[in-house]
Amino acid sequence: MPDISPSFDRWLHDVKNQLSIILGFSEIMLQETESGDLRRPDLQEINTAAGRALEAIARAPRPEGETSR
Amino acid sequence: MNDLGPMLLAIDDEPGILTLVERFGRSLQFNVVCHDGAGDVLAQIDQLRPDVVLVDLHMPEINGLEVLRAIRDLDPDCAVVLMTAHASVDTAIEAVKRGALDYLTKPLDFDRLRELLTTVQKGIERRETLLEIDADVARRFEFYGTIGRSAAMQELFDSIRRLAPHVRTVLITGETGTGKELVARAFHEVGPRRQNRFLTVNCSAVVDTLFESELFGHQRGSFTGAVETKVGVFEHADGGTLFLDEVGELPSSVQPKLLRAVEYGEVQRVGSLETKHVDVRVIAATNRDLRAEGAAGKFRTDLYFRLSVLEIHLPPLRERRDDIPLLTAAFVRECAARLDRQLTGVTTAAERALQESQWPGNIRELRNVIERACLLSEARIVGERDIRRAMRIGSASPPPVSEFAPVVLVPDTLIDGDSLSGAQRGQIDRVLRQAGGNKTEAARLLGISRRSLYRWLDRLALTQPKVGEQRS
Repeated sequence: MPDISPSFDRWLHDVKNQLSIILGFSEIMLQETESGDLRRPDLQEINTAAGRALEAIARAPRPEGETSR
Repeated sequence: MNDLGPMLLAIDDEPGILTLVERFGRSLQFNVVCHDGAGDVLAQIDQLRPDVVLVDLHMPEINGLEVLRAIRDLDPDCAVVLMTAHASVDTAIEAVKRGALDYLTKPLDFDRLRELLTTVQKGIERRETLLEIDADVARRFEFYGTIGRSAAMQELFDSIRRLAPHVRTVLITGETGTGKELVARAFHEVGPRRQNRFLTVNCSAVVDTLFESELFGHQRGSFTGAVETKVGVFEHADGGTLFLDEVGELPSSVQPKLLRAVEYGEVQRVGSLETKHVDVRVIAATNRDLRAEGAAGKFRTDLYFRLSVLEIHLPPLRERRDDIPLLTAAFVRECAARLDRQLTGVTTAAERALQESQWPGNIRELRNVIERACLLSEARIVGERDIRRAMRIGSASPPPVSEFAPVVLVPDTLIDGDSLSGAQRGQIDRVLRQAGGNKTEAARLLGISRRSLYRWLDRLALTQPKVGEQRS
């Protein structure tokens, strides 16, 4: 049975879930927004920032004493 | 909600992900149902009948792999895609081993998800196109109610076309449920007597002592209970066709008289000295080997030879499996019309299950299975699970009380309410409920006339259930 017991993995999972929502919705909204729409650059910022946050947490060091599952 | 669109079920314990999947699925014309966590969702799969399930791997109550396994058991036709924010090689391999369509990591790759959902959509469209083709082919290969494109059936139809205008006696042999009566009707319809009567006598359903009277009639007072003069079926069918089903059951005492009627067209009512001449085409049918029965002294050889001037053998369904998709398409179409449902056919897996079965009850059994599966199915395309359930119900003895099963009933003339078993009572009651109280439909499912059903209901003091009423 898949389980995420170490607290770091749990935290990683939860943050990724939230970032997935931000990335997903911003992506959908970008697709639905016309190229000349004034909101488009802001949406692009949200989308890019969420992507960077994902990259950042992927690089986050694992706390001592916790092993990856 | 677009009733005709495919159904996507999304399961996740994160509401934001559910909203995201719902938004995306709807943009691809999917009907989307979201479920917060796996909790009691498995109990609802039967009602929801999703075409594809998108399920999160890590959830507190039941994890995605368990949901995957349960859905594969419940509905093998349903595609399952796992998604996770915590991917691992182990779970990915496990998912694929358990039959997942794919394993997606979060954040979701919308291009990949679109591809997967489009694959499911296209699969359904392709299947529906194929089912339409099957239904169309079935219509084109239908010959007076009998459907078959196999070489054996095409040859049979040709024989009927060529010989029906000429032959006076036909013996149709074949296992039970192979469609002997339909072939007999085809002979009648193609031949020059089509404007006249086609009468059927089921020889296995007539009491031995009444046989002679049934076939040839009787004079008033000729025996106890003969309160009025009665015309027999031979006289009644004069100018037309008489179909003697299960002729192998004919008592030996009646066989010489039948031979005379067939050979010379002479009939004599019971208690009368007068011989009447009739012009009747006799088509007999049996699932027995009458030649062997003749050799064993159980059936008159001269009658066998007279009846078998033209002998037609109907192959069992297992020897004409190519016709199963067409027959299935025709039966589903009939059910859809009768139940006023949008049923288009069966899934590929269901068709495979139908192809693999031995069908000892032949076309009748196939028809019953399809009808039961159509009643059980909530989806537009009947799935393997419903087919297998319908097959199990048909073969189970006795069936579970909660499920529908066919019932063996005797003809009107033999009804005796006192001798009914509790099981028969239960089955009639159950079928009535399955048909939502519709007596015409219940009678059809039971294989008896509506009038017959009313008589049963009177004797059993069964009342019509209200629609929606359930057995506790």
